[in-house]
Amino acid sequence: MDFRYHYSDEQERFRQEVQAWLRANLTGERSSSPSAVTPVGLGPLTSIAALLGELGWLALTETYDSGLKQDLRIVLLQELEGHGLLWLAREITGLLQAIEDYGSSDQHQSFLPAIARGELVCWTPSRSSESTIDPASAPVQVTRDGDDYILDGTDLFLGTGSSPDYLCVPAISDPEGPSPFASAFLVLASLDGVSISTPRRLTQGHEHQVTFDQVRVPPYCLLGDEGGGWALSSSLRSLDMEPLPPLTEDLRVSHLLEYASETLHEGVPLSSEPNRQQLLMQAYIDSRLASLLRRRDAWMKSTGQELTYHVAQTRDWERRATERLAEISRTVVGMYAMLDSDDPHAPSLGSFEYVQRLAVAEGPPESDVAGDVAIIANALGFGGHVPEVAGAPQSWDEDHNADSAETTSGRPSPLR
Amino acid sequence: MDLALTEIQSLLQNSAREFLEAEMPKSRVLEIDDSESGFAVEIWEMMCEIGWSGMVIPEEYGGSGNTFTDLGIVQEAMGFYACPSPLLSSAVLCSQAILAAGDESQKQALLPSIASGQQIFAFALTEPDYGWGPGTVRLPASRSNGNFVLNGSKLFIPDANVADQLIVAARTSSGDSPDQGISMIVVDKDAPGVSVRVQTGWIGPKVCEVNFANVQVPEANVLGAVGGAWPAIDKAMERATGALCAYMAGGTQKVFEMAQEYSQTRIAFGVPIGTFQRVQDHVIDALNEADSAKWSAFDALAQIDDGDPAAGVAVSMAKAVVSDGFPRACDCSHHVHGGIGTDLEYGLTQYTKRARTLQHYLGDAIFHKARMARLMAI
Repeated sequence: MDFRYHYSDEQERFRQEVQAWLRANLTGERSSSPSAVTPVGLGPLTSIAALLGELGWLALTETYDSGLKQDLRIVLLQELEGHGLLWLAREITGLLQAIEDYGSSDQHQSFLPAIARGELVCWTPSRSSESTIDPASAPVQVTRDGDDYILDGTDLFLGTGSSPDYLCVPAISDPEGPSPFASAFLVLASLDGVSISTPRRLTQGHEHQVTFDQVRVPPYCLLGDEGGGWALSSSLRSLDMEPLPPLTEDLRVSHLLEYASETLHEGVPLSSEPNRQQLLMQAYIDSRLASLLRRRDAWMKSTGQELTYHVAQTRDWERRATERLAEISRTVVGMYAMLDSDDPHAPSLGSFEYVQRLAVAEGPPESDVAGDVAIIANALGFGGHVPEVAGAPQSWDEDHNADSAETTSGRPSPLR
Repeated sequence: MDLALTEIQSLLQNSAREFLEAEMPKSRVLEIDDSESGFAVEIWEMMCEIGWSGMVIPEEYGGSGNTFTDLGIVQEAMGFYACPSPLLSSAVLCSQAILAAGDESQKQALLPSIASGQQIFAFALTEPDYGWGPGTVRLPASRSNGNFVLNGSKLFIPDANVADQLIVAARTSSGDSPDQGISMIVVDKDAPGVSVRVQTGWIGPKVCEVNFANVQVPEANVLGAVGGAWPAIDKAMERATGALCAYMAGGTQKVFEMAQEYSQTRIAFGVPIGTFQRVQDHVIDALNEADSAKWSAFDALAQIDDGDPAAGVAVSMAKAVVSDGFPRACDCSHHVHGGIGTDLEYGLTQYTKRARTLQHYLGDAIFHKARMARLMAI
């Protein structure tokens, strides 16, 4: 057994390129610091996504002519994670995959290259939205009006900047009706009736609330078939089964160990006090276990083994580890753990304070407690835990092999 | 990065599982546990016959020179079946102590009999002031007419009741620091003045009180330099701890699987109890402990095999993980099982008592976290 992750010269060269690029393009003191562990501010993110796309770093060469090879993508994800931006590349990849799988040829041409190049910003449903786990619970309702669709309701979306070009919107037909169907739409954000607000959250806001008030959507905006919301949800959630990149180093824990070793309290280092020392080692163990589980997942993926509960377990573990790290940070660092980077007395550029927020917010933006627990429970054979989705095909094959008739799937439109 | 077993390791894993599946049904484990010795000589002879007792002893001393990962594969299978045996005490801890401290003639004299299983060794370190650091070793060994004379007692010594020889950590002088002045002395268990009593309680592997009353031991029985044994003891314990972690990981996996299976077959209110989220939470917690135990144990074993300078940290981390995780996974499994879990014939308690005993053996989580901090210079 070899647990060491070996990087090729090409990967190391690319890492240096990415690091230099991030230093040059992430503005502000935190992001320019090589030890940055808190995410960059909201402002520059739209341009960051665009610039990443311009470089061809948002897509894979396996799918598009330009883009990254898988081994280089791992490096990019590792570096983005160091700046709290892992979710950005993952969400865009998920969206590209969903459009690729379920969009029409026109939608392929209109959206795929533009999103991959970062020219088009499209927000996706947030993991904290009901629609992500169960499209049948989508808070946006759709009705048919002639050839057009009318959207009504409010949902949560994840994305960069303060407004997107497009929104990927799951919506449900009358949920009280005889057979409610979930569908998905690519909606121009500038349409009449679309209003966006960004709630103030404990962690920096990449999550937005979008309200649709009688928004009229032309038929070509339908992504996939009517009733295809399940497919979109599955496609977006397929990312939940993609292993997280192997951790290079958990900077949050490294900073805590460094701080405790170097900071004197009553004349001795904080780390020399036995109780604090035990807690520090627990934080190290938690981060090291996360690293081992990520390696397991990456190894299983690379050797073609079926990942069932594994990736969800790793995320769930990291979420719990973050909660423990927050508590340990408070115990070891004391009041200073509550200072953010704007305070001149903040240790480690405010990273301990950010962990407090992150722990309460139940992890980073790509995280979803209920979804992960459902995945693990299902994999362990506790069937029926994930609610059945309206309009969901019985199997993946059924969905993919359906013939074309009135809709591209051959199923009569449920909204007619 | 390659976490796969080699072809030979896979064969080893399969053969170990097949052997234990056939020889270690839960009824047999219960029978052995209930016996006074906690030892089944016929099982031990079979283990030695298939080479397990010589796995980590070099070929020149009668062993097969396997890696610690190979050993971990066997230990994991043994833990899965709750297999009782003196393998860890004799063939791992004592053999590694002799390899680390003994001179060539001692290695030639002692190791082949351990590798073949002809002699069983037990390692006597812990005392009434229970602990695994050098500061707790106080049993005095004083010089007298070319002999060392031992007086005092050791507590919680696994397998001392079935051992032929004891390797006793004794204080032969006081040093500037606790790790100085400690010697390892090979003591014939049948020597005059040695008495062994199996300690009682809800204990997994049998542990013993060993008393020494004016026990005379020739100086030639000291392994390595007089008073300088602690580094060798530390190294031997580190390697044995890696193997123990694999054993405990196997047990953790088993109690998870028992919980999973029971939750899917036990019907309450017309449905399997696994449909209740509270039950699922317990099963998922047990799964997390099982996977944490497995991967941290094998990471540590791989680092031992690689001679990685960080192996000490990895081993102590793994022991901290399994010392906490194995008992917790047992608790989870008991929560899922309810009353049936406490039925001795059912089999779960065989793991629970091992988890609670092995939690302390070779150092508990507190000890190993402190050791990690020391090694990491935190």
